[in-house]
Amino acid sequence: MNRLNPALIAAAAVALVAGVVLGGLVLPRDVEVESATLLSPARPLPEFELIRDDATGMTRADLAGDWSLMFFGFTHCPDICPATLETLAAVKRRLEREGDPVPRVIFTSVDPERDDPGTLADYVHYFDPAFVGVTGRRDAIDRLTRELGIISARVWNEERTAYTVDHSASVLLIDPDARLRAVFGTPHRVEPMARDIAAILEGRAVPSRDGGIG
Amino acid sequence: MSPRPRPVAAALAAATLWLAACSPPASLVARDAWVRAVPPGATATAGYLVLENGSDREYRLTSVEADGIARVEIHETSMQDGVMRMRPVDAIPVPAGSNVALSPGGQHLMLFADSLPREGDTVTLALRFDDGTALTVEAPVRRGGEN
Repeated sequence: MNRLNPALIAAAAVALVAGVVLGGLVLPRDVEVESATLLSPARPLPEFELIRDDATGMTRADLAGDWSLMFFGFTHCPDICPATLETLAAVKRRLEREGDPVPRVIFTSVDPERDDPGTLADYVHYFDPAFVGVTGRRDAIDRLTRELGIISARVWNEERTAYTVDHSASVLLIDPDARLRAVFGTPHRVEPMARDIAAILEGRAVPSRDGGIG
Repeated sequence: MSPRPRPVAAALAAATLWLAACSPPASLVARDAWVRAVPPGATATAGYLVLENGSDREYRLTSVEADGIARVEIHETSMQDGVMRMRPVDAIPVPAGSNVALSPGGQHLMLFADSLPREGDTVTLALRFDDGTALTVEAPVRRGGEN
C-alpha cells in the first residue's frame, strides 16, 4: 500500500492539473456576440393581435415563456426569404445537435393580402415543421413592424401587373418576457448565429468589443 | 534572318495548333447552376449560376428561357440600410476575363410558373447573350441556405 503512494500522488497531481486545464476549456465562458447587436436594456414589444398559420390568434402574451427568433418577409419572395428560412432551419438543427436551447422561429408576413394562414402554413412548414407563420390585418402588422424598426414597402412592376415587397432582412431575437433582445443583421450565417444564440440564451453573451450595443 | 530558326517556328506553330485543337477556346462558360427548391404552391423561385468569361470582350446575359417555366427574368437583390430590394435588370454584364456569380442575395434569375419543378428535378437553362451567343446549362433543383 505505502509503496503505491508516490504513484497515486503523482496521478492525483496530474488529474488536478488536467482538471483545471479542461475545466477552463469546458466550463461556461463569456462569448462576444459577433453576428448580432445586443439591446441593453431589452426593449419590450408592444401589444399586438395577429393570426397564426393555424388561424388561431397570436398576441404578445404568446411570446412569453420562450425565446423566439422573428423574421419578416412574404411567400412570393424567391431569394432572400427562402434563403433566410433555410439558414434558420440549419441554425435550429445545429443548436439541437449541440444540445443547446432552441428558440422557436416565427415568420411574419409583410404581405398579408396574399399570405393567408393556409398559404403561410404550407410555406413555413416546408422549411421546418416547427416553424410558425404569422399574418394578420395590414394595420396590425404595420404597427408591430414600425415598433420593431422593420421596414416594408410594396413596389409594383412597370406594367403594374405584379408587385414585390422591399423589406428589412434582419432576424430579431425576442426574450421570454417578450422583449427585443438582439438584432441579427445580414448576411445571416449558420455558425456564428448558432454560437451567438446559444450564448445569449445561456446568459453568457457579451457585446463584441467593436461596439455591439444598440 | 538565317534559315535556322525556321524549324523552331514551324514546331511552335504546330504546337500552337495542336494545343488549340485540344482545348477549344472556352471563352464563355456557364457552370454551377442550380434552382432553389421552394414549397409546393409557390409560383416563383430563383436560379443561380457562375458565368466565366475567358475572352477579351464583354458579354451581356440578356435573356433566359427554361422548359416548363413560363417566364424567366433577370433580377438583382440589393441591401440598403438593411432593407432588401429586388429589381429586374435588363442584362448582366460579364466583363472580359472575369467571372460573375449569380448567387443568393445578389444577381439572380427569377423563374415564374404555376407549377415549379421540385427538389431533385433538373431544369435546363437556355442562356442568350447580347451578340447572339447561346449557352445551355443544367440546373439541379435543390435547397440552399445562407445568403
